[in-house]
Order: sequence, then C-alpha cells, then structure tokens
Amino acid sequence: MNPTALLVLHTALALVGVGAFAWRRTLHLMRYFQQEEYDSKRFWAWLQDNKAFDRRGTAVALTTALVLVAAQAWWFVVFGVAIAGMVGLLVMAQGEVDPRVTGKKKLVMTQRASRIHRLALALFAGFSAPFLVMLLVAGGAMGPAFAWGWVVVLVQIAPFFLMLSERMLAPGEKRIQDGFQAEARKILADVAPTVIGITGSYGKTSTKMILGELLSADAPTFWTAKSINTPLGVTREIREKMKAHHTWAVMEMGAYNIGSVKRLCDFTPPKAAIVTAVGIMHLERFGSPENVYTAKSELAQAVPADGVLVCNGDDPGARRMSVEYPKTTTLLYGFDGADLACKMTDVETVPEGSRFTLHWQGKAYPGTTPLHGRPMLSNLMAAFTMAAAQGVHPDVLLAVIRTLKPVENRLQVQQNGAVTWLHDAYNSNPAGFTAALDVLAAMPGQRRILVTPGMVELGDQQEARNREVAAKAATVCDLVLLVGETNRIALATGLKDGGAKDEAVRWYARRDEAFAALQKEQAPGDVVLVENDLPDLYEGTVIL
Amino acid sequence: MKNVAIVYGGRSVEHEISVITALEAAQAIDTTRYKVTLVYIDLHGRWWTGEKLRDRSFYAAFHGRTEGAKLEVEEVTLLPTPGIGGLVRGSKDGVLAAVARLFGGGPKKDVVIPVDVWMPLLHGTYGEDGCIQGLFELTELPYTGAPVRAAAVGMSKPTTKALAAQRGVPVLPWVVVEQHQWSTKDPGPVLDRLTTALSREGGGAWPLFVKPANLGSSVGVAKVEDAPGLIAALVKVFQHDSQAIVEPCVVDLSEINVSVRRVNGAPVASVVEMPVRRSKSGVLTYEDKYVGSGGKKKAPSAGMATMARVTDPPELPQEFKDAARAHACTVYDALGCMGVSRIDFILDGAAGQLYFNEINTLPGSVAHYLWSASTPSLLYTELLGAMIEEAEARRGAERRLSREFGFKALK
Repeated sequence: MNPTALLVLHTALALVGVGAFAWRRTLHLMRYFQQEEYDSKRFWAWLQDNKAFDRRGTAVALTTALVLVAAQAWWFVVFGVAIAGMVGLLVMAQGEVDPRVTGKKKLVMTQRASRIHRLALALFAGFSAPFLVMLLVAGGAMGPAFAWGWVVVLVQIAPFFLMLSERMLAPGEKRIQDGFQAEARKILADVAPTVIGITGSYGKTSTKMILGELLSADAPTFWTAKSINTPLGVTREIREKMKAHHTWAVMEMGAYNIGSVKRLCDFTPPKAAIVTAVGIMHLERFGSPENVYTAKSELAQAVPADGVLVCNGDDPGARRMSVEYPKTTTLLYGFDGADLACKMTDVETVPEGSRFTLHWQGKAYPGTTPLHGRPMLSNLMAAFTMAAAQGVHPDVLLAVIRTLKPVENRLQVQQNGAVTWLHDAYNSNPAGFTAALDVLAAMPGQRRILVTPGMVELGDQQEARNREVAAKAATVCDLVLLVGETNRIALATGLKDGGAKDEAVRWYARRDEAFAALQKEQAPGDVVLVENDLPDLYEGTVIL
Repeated sequence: MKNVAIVYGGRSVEHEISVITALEAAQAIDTTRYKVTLVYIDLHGRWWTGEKLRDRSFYAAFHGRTEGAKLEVEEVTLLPTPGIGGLVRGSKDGVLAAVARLFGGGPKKDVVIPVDVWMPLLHGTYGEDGCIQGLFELTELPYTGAPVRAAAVGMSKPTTKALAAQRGVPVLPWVVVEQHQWSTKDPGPVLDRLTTALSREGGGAWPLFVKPANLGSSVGVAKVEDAPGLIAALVKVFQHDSQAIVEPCVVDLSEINVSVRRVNGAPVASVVEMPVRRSKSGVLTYEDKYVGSGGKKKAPSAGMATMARVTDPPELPQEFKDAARAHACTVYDALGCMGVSRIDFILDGAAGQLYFNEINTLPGSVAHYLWSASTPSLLYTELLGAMIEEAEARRGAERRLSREFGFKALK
C-alpha cells in the first residue's frame, strides 16, 4: 500500500475517533452547561473549580502520539497504532456518561440545548479536520504523531466549543425568545388575571404553591410550575397553561442579579406582591447584601400605589421594604412583633403536621395543616395574608390550609415501613436547615439520622454557617451522613463543636453511596432527614 | 351483519373506566351477528378509530399525544345529518392520499365508516348526561341505553331524587347549593342554611355528605364532620360542578345496588349487590370502585367488575331486597329509562330504613355481573344483544312519527 493511501486512511481513523469522542464528551458537558443556565462565565468557573479538564481522551491520544514518534519509520506499525488510538477513543466515547439518562438532574435536550450542542459539534469538526489533514500531509514522517498531538489539544478545548456555540447562537436565540415572549404577553393581556408577584431569598416557591391552592378556592388560578421564575420559564408556562378562565396568576420572580425582577415585572406587571425574605442566599452573584436588597425591592417598587404589599415581618430586609415602598395596603406577617397584621402563635409540631393559632384582624383562628416546620408555616402566613387581603374569608382559607398537600421535597414526610423520611431536598439555607432539625427533633422515633451535603451559595459565610448548623445537628442527631467534598470540613468541624462522637459521623463521596449505606443500616423507628440535595455540579469531582 | 359502533372514553373524570367497560364489551359482543367498530373519544374530545384501539396498552401511550398517524389510529367525526349512516373521516389527508386521489385512487374525503347502531359506553359528563344521545338522535340511527331525557334527568342527583320522592320512593333530605350562591368572601350564609336545614332531632347536623350534583362519579364526594370540612368540600365540588348537593350522612350505612333493564316494555330488576368498602372515610372511593384490592396493581382493572362486592347477600333481610328492587323499577320507569341502569340505595342500619341514592343510566361494566348472577341468568353477550335489539325496536317505532309539517309559513 502506498504511503498516501495510508495517510488518508490514517486521517479518517483519527477523525472517526475524535469525532465520536467529541460528540459524547460535549454532550456530557452540556449537563453542567445547562445547570449553569448556559452562562459561560459560571460554566468556566465550574470547570476551573472542578479541574474538569480532560484526562482520559488525552491519555489515549498522547500515548498514541508518543508511540508514533518512536515508530515513525514503520508504516504498518504506524497504521496499527493509529487503529489502536481510534479504538481507544471510541471506547472512551462509549464510556462517557449519558447525561440524558443518568444523574440527579438529567440533561433535558430542549431545542435550545440541541442547537447549542449541534453547532458546537459543527464548530469542532470545522476546527479539527483541516488541521488534522494539514499536519498529516505536511508533517512528513512525523505527520501522524503531530496529528495525534493535535487530538490532545482538541479534547482539551472541547468545552470551549460549547461556550463559543452559545455565544454565536445568542442573537438568534434572543429573537426566538422575544417572539415567544410577545405571544405570552398577548395571552396575559387577553386573559387579564390579577397578577401577584412573589420574591425572596427563600420560601418563594412554597409560598407560590400555597397561595395558588388558596386562591383556587376562590376562582381558577394560574401559577408557574416548580421553581420556574425566569422570563424564559414564565413565557413557556403562560403559552402552555394559561387559560381564559384564570382569574388569579401567581408568579414567582427570581432575583438573579439587579434588574432581573424588574424585567419580570415589566413582563407580568403585578397588582400585589409578597416578599418572603432578603437573605444571604446567592451572595456570590450579588456581591453585597445591599445589592440583594436592591434586586428584590424591584418587586415592591413595581406594585402600584393602590396595590397590596405583603412582607415577612420576621425578616429585617423584607420589613425595611415595607417601610420604604408602602402601598395603600401594606401588611406584615410573622411569629414575632407587635405590628404584625397576621401573626402565628401556639405552634406545635405533631407527626401529621402542625397546629397553630392565626391572628388576623383582631380575631384568633385555631388551625391545623399537614405542613411541617417554621419556614413552611411562615410561607403559609404569607399566602394567608395575601389571600385574606384579596377578600377571601379566613374560614375558607383555614379550611383549605387544613387539607393542603405537602409541597414535594420541602420537609415532606414519608412513611417507608417503620422508617420515617423527612425530605427537605431543595436548595437549603441556614433558617431552613435549622427548622428542619427542629422538626426532626420533634418527630416521634428512635434514632435520628441526617443526610446532607451542607448548604452552598452563601459567599464568604458558607464555612461559618455550615459549621453552625452542623453544631446544632450534633445535638439532635444520632447519626450524620455527610455527602461530597464541598462542605466536608466545615460540617465535620461543626459536628465536633456540637459534641458529636466520631462514630456518629460518616462521609460519602456521592449521595447514592450514602443512601446505599443507609439502606443497610436503617432500623425500625429511624427518622431520616434528607437536607439539601445539590445539583450534580456540586457533588464530588467529575473525572473526565 | 350489523355495524355496531362502540363509542367510549370521553371528556369525563371516568374516562379510563369507560375504556375498560368498552374493551370488555367488545370482547363479549356476539361477533357472528355484529361487526364492531371502536370509536374512542380522547380527553380533548377528538374521535378516533382503528384496530389498534383494541390493545389496552395503546391508551397510556396515546395519552397526551395529538397526532394519530404514528399511533395507527385515524381521526373520525360525526355530522349531525339525518341519514348520514355513519362516521366521516376527520383527519387531514396525507400527501400520499392526496396524490393517489388525483389519479382516482385512495380514500375519498367523505368516505363514511358505516354504522347501523351506536353503543355509547361512556360514563359521566357528555356521555351519560344526554349530550351524546342528543347527537345520536340527530343522526336518526338507533343507539343503546337511556334516551336523552332519561340520561339528562338521571345525571342530576337532585332532580332524580325529587322525581323519586314524588313517586313515593324514600329519599334522604337534601339541600342544593348553586355556585352563584356560594361566596368565598362570605361563606357564612350558605353554611348556616345547610346546618339549619339539615339539623337532626336533638340538634347538630354533622356529619354531612357533600357531592357534586351532576358528575356521577366519586370525584368530589366527601363526608364532612365540621364547618372547615364542609367549606373544603364545597370548594372542591365547585372546581368540578356548578351545583353541590348536601345530605345528612347516615352513620350506620350500607349500600345496596340493583340493576334494572326493560323486558317487553316493563322494567325488570336484577339481584341486589352490596359493595364492600375499604377506605376508613366512609366514602366509596374511586380506588374502591375501580382499582381493586389494596390499590396494588396486580391484575389489570376490569372497572366496576373489579370492586369487592357481595351479590345477593344472605344476611340482608328479604324485605330490603324486595323493597330495593321495587323502588329501583319505579325510579327507572319514572325517568323513562331504556337499556341497563344501576340504581343505588343507602341502608340506614340503625333505623332500618332504605333510601334511594342515585341512578347510573350507563353503569360501569354495563352491570353485567348483576345480570349473570340473576335468575334466570343472562350472560354479558346476551345482555349486549338485547340492548342492541331494544335500540333498533325503539328507532323503528320513532320512525313512524312524522317530523314534517309541510312548508307553509315561508311559502
């Protein structure tokens, strides 16, 4: 066989191998890119933090290149090595995780995700093929070795093609999105429901769902699913689910940076608003607590002067907002304070939920609810206050509150045989964590077990806050299963501070490992609290 | 061979139960006499036909889909034209069919899928309440079961109870709450009215029973012990129905069901059955009725036939059995029912009193299990055959009625 034919064949082999590898690798990375909301800056930070650079593909390509350098004169060896290299890459490609079927938060191949991935592959192909051919042709005897060296570079820079693709698609994406949003605006204008906006560092999703249920007792109510709270998500929800008969619309508004709540308020102008908390969550994104306040106050500002503003009186930031942006009807709710429009006292945790007394307009209403924990009861008050302010009778609200379904994964109690599970898997915060521990302590049972990776997105307070809650956990729990590296040291130190014995604390790299261990360990009478469930982004190290 | 179209599914909370009833009936029907076309109405109200519909696993796959092509079913529709003689293809033609038609081949747009008899096996809204019966009337083709008036009246619990009471059949007192009377801003007046009207001797109205007045299923049915429970139940009912019916709740309660059909023009009652309740709430739940033992999915549900029951229970005194069968015939006749109905009674064990509760003019599983247990025993196949013959006879009689009065006023 003549050398030229061999070169062509060689190029083809290298392309097949690197192509297959690039396809699976970029797909794998798409999961993390998606979880970082296609934000290149955050994705890049994640890549760095996790040292998520390629190891496997590089090992294969580099070995191939080195062997080729050694064996440059032996054409049949060169050819054999190239085949081995290609097979190696194909095996690596086969071994890549498929994020569409595995992982806690699966990659959802939306049209946008597909577009980004396809263009990234096209860019990758366009970028890799000419160089490969050039190196092979111009490199002479060293051509194949150069080519495989280039493959090493290619697998290393694979993530950048995703970022580049996203950047290139951004203008088109915006046009499509603007079209959808205009459609959603029109639907909203035609249906014309009374829009109630909810924002806050935590509690907004639960508050939204409870308020949705309460207002449904009055008239058909639209509310966005799960924790959807961005213009993109709200647009889709409106287009798919808003119907002509909807009288109320409850919108969760996420503050991702200054201006994001304002954009949502321009899109779905609220007549009334709830502010649940101005906390230190997502401090990293804002820079300062004052910026968090400013971002959330955009909702209070958007409510017209004759509207309704309901603020959490137990939260200094939310309270301040009620003073700075008062409306005709400005109401505070909470557990403590003399000036609260709605106040809850006599809270009692029972296995089937909570008992309490609500004070509203000079009357006391004793009530029960299947919901657990003070933060959830605070959300309940927020929803009650808003619905009552809209004219729904407190008796009706309490009747519905008594039959509310627990919000999934938010201190949701589940009996699994003789073991009681408390699922509190949503993005955790210090107040929520502490309250969950209180509920854990109040539940009847034998051993109290905590499974947690700790809390994230708390900025420079992360270590201190995790240590604090861990110290409290030590006083409540008989066994603590820590998950992942992120907060490992802070939590372990905190547990020691709280007096936990060494044998009562265990550590697992991944959540499923902790659960597998728990499966073997659990005994009748156990009460297990699953506190926080971090996205794949935060869990362990991804070895690529 | 007669073409029988079994129409089922429908825009109703009992959609799935209807599917089960229909597939069961399609198995039981005498195929030497009848050629069956399955006509499935999906949850959005679109009509489909095709052999694939006989496969039980089709429905879960179809749920949420809108395009029939890939699922091997074809969209059809029914025009309210007298003498239309069947169904019209409803889906848009594919490119291939359009090209084929250019050359004189392929299906024509208005091809009729011939139907000689409609057999609605729908439960609840739009199917058991006279709606679809009205459409069938317009086609001038025979249809099995209750005619428009009986179906429409039977769907309204308060109307049927009033009619039954007028014929001397004992009923529990009831109060109807219209949606416009109910206010979430001020629930007091309605609550006061209910508790006053339904208070018992010695005071106190609780517990009460709250039901949607026009749904004919277990959805929204609740036993309530106090005012918050009553509020929550009314809120639930008004999400599904514009009328609620509230009754005193019989504490020592058992239920007795009887099926009635017409033989040679006169109503005949089947044996009685007593359903067995599993839930503690005192309400016969959707799960009790349809999902079977313990809610565990062992065998596929056979609809109403799944429910735990005792047929002709020996411990039930004969006087109650006789009374239930006699009252059932009275109610069936008062409504002008046809086909197979199931009439449900409440037995107050403490007071030894039987009350008419409700009628199902299109009962789940066509109540065939009651007829096969009766004497003389009637098998499902024979029951369906009798329903078809009855429908044809009725249409024959109605054909003699003149609908035309000449064209005079506009001449």
